Amino acid sequence: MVSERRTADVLIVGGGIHGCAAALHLAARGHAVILLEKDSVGRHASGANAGGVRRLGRATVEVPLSVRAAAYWREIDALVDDDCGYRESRYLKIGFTEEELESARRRVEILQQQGFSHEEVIDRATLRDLLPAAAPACLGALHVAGDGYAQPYRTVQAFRRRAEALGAVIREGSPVRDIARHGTVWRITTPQASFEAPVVVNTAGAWGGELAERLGDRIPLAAHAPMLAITTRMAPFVDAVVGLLGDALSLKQFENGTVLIGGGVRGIAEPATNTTRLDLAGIRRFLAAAARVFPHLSGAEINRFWAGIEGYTPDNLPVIGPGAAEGVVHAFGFSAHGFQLAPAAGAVVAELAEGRPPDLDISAFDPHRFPNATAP
Amino acid sequence: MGLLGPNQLKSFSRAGMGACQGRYCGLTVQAMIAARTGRSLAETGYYRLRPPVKPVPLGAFADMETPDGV
Repeated sequence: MVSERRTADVLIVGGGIHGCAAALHLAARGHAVILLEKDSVGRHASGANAGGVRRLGRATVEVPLSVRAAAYWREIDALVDDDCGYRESRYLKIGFTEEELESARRRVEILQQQGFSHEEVIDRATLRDLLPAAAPACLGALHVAGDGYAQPYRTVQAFRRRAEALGAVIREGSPVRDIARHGTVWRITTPQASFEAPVVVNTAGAWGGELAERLGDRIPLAAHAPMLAITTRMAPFVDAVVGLLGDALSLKQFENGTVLIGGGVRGIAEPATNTTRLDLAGIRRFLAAAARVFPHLSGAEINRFWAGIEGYTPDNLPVIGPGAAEGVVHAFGFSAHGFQLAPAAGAVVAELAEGRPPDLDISAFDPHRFPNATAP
Repeated sequence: MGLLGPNQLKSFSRAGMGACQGRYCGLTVQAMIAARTGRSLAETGYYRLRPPVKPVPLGAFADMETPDGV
C-alpha cells in the first residue's frame, strides 16, 4: 500500500544505503521522513558493490567515521534486525616490495599518532601462516583484524525495511521532476505527486551532483562503474579479504566457494540510461593482480562480471554537510568506499538534518571545499 | 505482488547467479512473474545479461592482449 503522506520533516532523495540509513536514523529519532528513489532501492552502487566492511586503508580524515561505523557493523542486527550476511574477516593489503611495506609502516605510525591502532604491518612469515595459498613473492602486508563483509543488496533492503518499520515512507519509481523552495519548505514534484518538508537530504549517489546543482550547490562529481568479477565455486583457499598496497585489488571467497574479485578498477558508467559497460583493459589489470597473489586462480572460471554506477569526487572523499541554501544536507560522492560508512554516516546526516552540529569532525567532507562550489 | 521484475528477483533470491547464469531458470522466472502480475512477457522483461555468459578461465582474461597494448 502506497502511503498518502505528502508532507514530512525531511525529504530524502536517493534510496541507496546512505538514503536508507539516514531515513532509519531520522525515523528512529521521531521525525516524519519521505524517501524518494528514482528507480528501486539498492538498484545502483549500493546493491552492486563488493560488500566490503573495512577500516583498512582509508584516508586518515575518514578513519574516525569508519571506526564508528565498524562498531555499528559488529552489532548490525541490533540496528536493522537482520545480520545482513555480515561476516567478520581480517583484511590484508599485500606488498611485493620493501618500499611498499615501508610506506605502510609510515601509515601505521601516522594512525597511531592519531590514536588508532587497528592497522599493523605483518611480516612474510606471518603472512604465510595467514595465507598459505599466496605466492612466495608476497613480502608482507598491512593487516587489520575485526573488519568484515556483508551482502550488499540484502543489507540495503534491511536498512530500508527497518526505516519503514520505524515509520519512514519509501517511494520507488519516483524521480525528482521539480524541486524548489516555497517559503519555509522544499517542494519536490515527482510524476506521481508533490511532497513538502523543511529539509531535503541529497543521498543521490552518482546523481547527487546534478541534484546539488538544483539545490544551489555546484559540487564536482564524476560517474564511474567500478567492476567486479565472480568465479564459480572453488575449494576454500582464503579466509581473509585480500588487496594490494601497490595496485587495485580486492578479493574474497564466500562460504559457497565463489571468489569475488574487484578493487575499484573502473568501467564506463552511463547514468542517464542506468547502464554500465566493462573496460577490458581494466578487467585484465585486476584479474592479473589476483593471479599474481594466488597463482592457482589462473585456472579459476569467471562466471560473471558486473559494475554499479557510483559518484566520485575530485579528492575521492565523500560530500557530507549542509548546502548553501536553507534546509539542505548533502551526503553523496562516497567514491566507491561508502558502504561501510553508511550506519555511522546516516546518524551524522540525521544530526545535520536536525540543524545540529554532529559530534564528529566532518570538515574534510565539506560540500564547499571545491573551487566554485556554489551555483550562481 | 510487489516484485519489480526478474532482476529484482535475481537480487533477492540469487536465481540466475549460479553456474548457468540463468540459462535454465531465466525463462521460467520471467513466465512466473508474468503469470502472477498479469503482465506480458515483454512488459515483465528479462535478466540483464552479464558477460562472459559461459564461465571463462581467469587466465584467459589476465593474459589477454588489448588493442592499445596496455
